[in-house]
Amino acid sequence: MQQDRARVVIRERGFGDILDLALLLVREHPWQLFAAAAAGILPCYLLNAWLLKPLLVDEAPTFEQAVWYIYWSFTLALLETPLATALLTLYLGQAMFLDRPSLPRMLRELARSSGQLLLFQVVLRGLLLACPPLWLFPYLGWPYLNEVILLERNPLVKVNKDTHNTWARSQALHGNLRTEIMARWLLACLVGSMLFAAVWGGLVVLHLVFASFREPGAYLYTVYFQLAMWITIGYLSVVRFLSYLDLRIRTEGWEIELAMRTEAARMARQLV
Amino acid sequence: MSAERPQLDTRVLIVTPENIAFEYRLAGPFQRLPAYLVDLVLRTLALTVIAVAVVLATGGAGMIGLGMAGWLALWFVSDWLYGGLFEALWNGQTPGKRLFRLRVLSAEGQPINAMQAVLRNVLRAVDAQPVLPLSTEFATGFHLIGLVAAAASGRFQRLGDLAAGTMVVVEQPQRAPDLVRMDNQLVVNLASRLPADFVASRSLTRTLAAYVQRRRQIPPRRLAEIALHVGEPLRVRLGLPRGMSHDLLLCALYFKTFFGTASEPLASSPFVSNGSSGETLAGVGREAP
Repeated sequence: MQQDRARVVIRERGFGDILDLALLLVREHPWQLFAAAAAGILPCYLLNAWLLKPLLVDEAPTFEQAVWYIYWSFTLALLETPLATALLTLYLGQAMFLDRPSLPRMLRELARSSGQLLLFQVVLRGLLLACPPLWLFPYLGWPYLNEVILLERNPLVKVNKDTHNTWARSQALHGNLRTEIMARWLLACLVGSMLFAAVWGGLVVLHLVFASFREPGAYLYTVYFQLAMWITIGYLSVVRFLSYLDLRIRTEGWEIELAMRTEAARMARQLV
Repeated sequence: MSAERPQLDTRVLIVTPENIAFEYRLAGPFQRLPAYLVDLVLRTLALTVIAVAVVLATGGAGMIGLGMAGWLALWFVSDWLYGGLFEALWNGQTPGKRLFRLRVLSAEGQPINAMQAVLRNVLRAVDAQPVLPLSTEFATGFHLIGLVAAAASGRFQRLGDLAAGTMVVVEQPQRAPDLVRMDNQLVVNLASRLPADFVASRSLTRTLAAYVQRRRQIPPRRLAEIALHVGEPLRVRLGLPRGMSHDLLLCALYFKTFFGTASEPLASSPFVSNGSSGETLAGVGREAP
């Protein structure tokens, strides 16, 4: 990657700064990010609607029905998020260094990474989700695995002594700052919960205003809950991408490499 | 690609009419949230304590109705004027903002006046929309209007900020980085053998300082990759043998630039940090020239 041409200023940031920077990034690419997110999220939304349909049979769901619906919605979202946000991650990766990210290139890269994505983020994550105490592992142990798979494209199996395979690369990336990664995950959960509650509540209030205070009924869950959840996941995916960049800056000295490249170019110009 | 477009950052540069540029780090909604919550908790605690005091003071005299009326008036005033009064009196800060080192400034980077402080806080009621009434007395605001306005504004200004012409910044005391002590003998030796007439340019000096400050936190293999960019052209320019450690060369140049060529570093200098004493040099497997 050419750090000296990054769209975002490369420097170490606190988590609050990253959360705010994500808003600037969304502001700069609103429609592209919406399209990339929707392309991944819409199939998941439709699949979930089909899978969860039997849980909400009444027009006005009971408390118990609602609790089970919410539980299964969150569980499915945990499993689907890496796939649902893969295009968004690829778009962000290209938007960092290119003026016009290319859709064919994104699709090619997605196809190339799909094997590892399925293996690590669906099969392995699915197995961990099936054992409740272990479902936190992917978030605390390798939260940026999606970025490693999609953007760094390491081989599944080490081909020579100078290359990393995906798993080793992920361990090397996450290994140094485990405590900070955990703290950031907890903060992301807190902020995500608040954002989710604000969006869900806001949508319900808007419904009440525009539907003359008629109760939303099952729409409260099938539409507004799902919308709030996926909007939050989409935003947190942008935050995750920026946190991944920050982690690389901290552990690999990106900002120093940028300064070095700039200085090297200056020296070369002086010699010419 | 983005030669025309400035890079995205939460820092802004504001040039005053006197043509003096100030850099500010903007505080967006997520950096302002903890300060807002602290203020909310402080205000709630204060009102609760006052309510208890009012009940104790007026209950015995049979004037509890009057006491509670006064308390409700105080609640109303604090709800609307807490932020405005504090920001007007404390130069753009509330207790929460002071705790998290935030400050409200005018959009031109100047201190705000009382009118701006009150206006931006009164308009918080608009930014808090949509509001869901929970009962006849209580309602909760979801602050979506404020969040969307802040996200749409390049300077994270909610509607209250836009109306009052204000912005919120993070106060960061800037301090020059300490010099890093270089007591590795290989560095000292190489520094003393570098050409006496070699003087690092200002930009190279800055780059060397940034490199040496950060090199301890970077793995050796990665450090070697980073040092290569400037280390190799400098090695060629200085006529040093092929294969020498670029990290060693950059450290020696740093030493020569900041400490001269004295064999003893300026350890008595108050600016010298001890952070790197006893360090090992990445890639030092070869003998320095």
